[in-house]
Amino acid sequence: MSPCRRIRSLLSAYVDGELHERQRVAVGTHCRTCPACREVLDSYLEVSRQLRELDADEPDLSRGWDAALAARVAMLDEELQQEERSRARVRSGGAILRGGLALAASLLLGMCLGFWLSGPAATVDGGEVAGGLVEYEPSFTVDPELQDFLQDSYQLASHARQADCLPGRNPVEQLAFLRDYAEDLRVPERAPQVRDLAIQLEQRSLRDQILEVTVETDQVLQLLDRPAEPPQEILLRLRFGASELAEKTSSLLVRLRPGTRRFTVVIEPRESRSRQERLSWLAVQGSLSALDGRPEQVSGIIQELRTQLGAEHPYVQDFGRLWQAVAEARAGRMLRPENQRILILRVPDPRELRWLLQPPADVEEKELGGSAVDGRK
Amino acid sequence: MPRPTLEHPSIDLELLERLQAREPAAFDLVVRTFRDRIFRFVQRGVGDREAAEDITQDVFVKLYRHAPSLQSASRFLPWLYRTARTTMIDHQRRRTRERRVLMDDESLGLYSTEATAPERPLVRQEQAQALQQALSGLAERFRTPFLLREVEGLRYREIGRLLGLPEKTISSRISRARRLLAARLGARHDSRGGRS
Repeated sequence: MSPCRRIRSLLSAYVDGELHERQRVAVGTHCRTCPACREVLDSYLEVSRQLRELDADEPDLSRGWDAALAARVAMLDEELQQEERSRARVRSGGAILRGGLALAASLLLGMCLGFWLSGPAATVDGGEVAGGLVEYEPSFTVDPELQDFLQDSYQLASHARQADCLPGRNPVEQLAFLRDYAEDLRVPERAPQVRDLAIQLEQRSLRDQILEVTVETDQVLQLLDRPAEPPQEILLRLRFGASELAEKTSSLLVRLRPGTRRFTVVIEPRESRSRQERLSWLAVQGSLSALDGRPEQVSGIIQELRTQLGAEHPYVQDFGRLWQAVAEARAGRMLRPENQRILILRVPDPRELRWLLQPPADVEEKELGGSAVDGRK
Repeated sequence: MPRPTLEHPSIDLELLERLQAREPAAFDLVVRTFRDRIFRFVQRGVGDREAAEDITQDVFVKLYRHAPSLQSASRFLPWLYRTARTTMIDHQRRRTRERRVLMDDESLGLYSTEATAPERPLVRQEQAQALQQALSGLAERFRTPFLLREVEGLRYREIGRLLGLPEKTISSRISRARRLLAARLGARHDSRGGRS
């Protein structure tokens, strides 16, 4: 690289005072003797000068801006209070189904599981169920701590993906990058997750990402906003191994709240079909079969997973446990505490999601409750 | 109040807690402290005063909505900038898609038009317009880091953390933004010189 070219690549950082002392001196010395580089430097300084001038000339916010904001905030406040009131009504309106809402811990690792509870809500038998089970109301307002975690995991996954996508960056840099980000995480117990993710990055395992799941939430909430429809439940457990999947899932959960109006799901299998990919797709199929209430298929898939992964594999165990949870709920029995870590959503018709059962190659554009879903690769 | 940077808590813990509880006085204080800063940042980004006012409002409405989940005082300002940035991007996408001019709500008399026409000498006005056009013409990935540096005075490291990008990427994007702006403004200057 010629001296001028090297110097010019540093000029912007020089203007911003971001160079090390040695570089700063080198640039200054060079520009004093090189008219061409000096001219470039002057042009940069001129841009900064004009921008400062522009800011100095700019008037402040309009009169009335504060009043308009106050009006909007008052409306929002009313809306929030209304949401709170309707949640309170749901809480006092009799049991629908008992379950816990706590899938945060499982967001960053694992695979995808989802189950339909196609039986009627009354399987829990209406009355209060003792035993400390929390009544779930499908308002999607997750508690702030969980939401924080989800937001963090979303950002974390986003950062991880970014790091992974940057060509030429070595794993050491990526780890440093993640560690730097980890400093932002307030709760120390999240540190292991960062470390795990960093290790994944180091092993470049993110390249083995299996599915991309893009989820928009409007449609499902539209469905939820139709109380006249007979309520049915989706029992959905999401555990993703690849950061991108975690990101997408977190994104869904963060955004699931009243007022959102679109819910589409796109699953795009990657072209290369590694063993991990096949297993994951199998898992997804299993989950969806469970969703669709086809126990015989689920049993077959559990068997297949046991053969492939071994009975002790955490995923196999989780899968079995969750299937057990579904069975318990169907049978109207109280969910055992270890099966409470589930998220229950209510939608009118589970069959609307049947297209997901198709094998990857056949995933095509489908309708989900009237909304176009693009599932093609 | 001294100009906060991302490295120093922009609000203290007590204010954060009051904000989390959506206490009106706390929210007002936060709005008064940060509105001009966010507005300037957004305005340089979208180049449209009215849209910038709307976007700035959206940012604070979002702040109110999400106040209970704000995590820490030191992460408040990055949160605000990130929200401003995403709101701005959403706005621009929407505008591109709908191709419609944003209008303010004149019927409610919410905005005064008196402040929208600053008194500037003609040459400076032209210069300002050219700069704003050049800025608006930059891709968002170059413009945002550049504005965070130039308008907000943030360090590369801070910008990197805010945008989730490595410092080197920030440096090269800002450099690229400067080069493009200097070239565009220089070309304009040359063409004006050529005509005269």
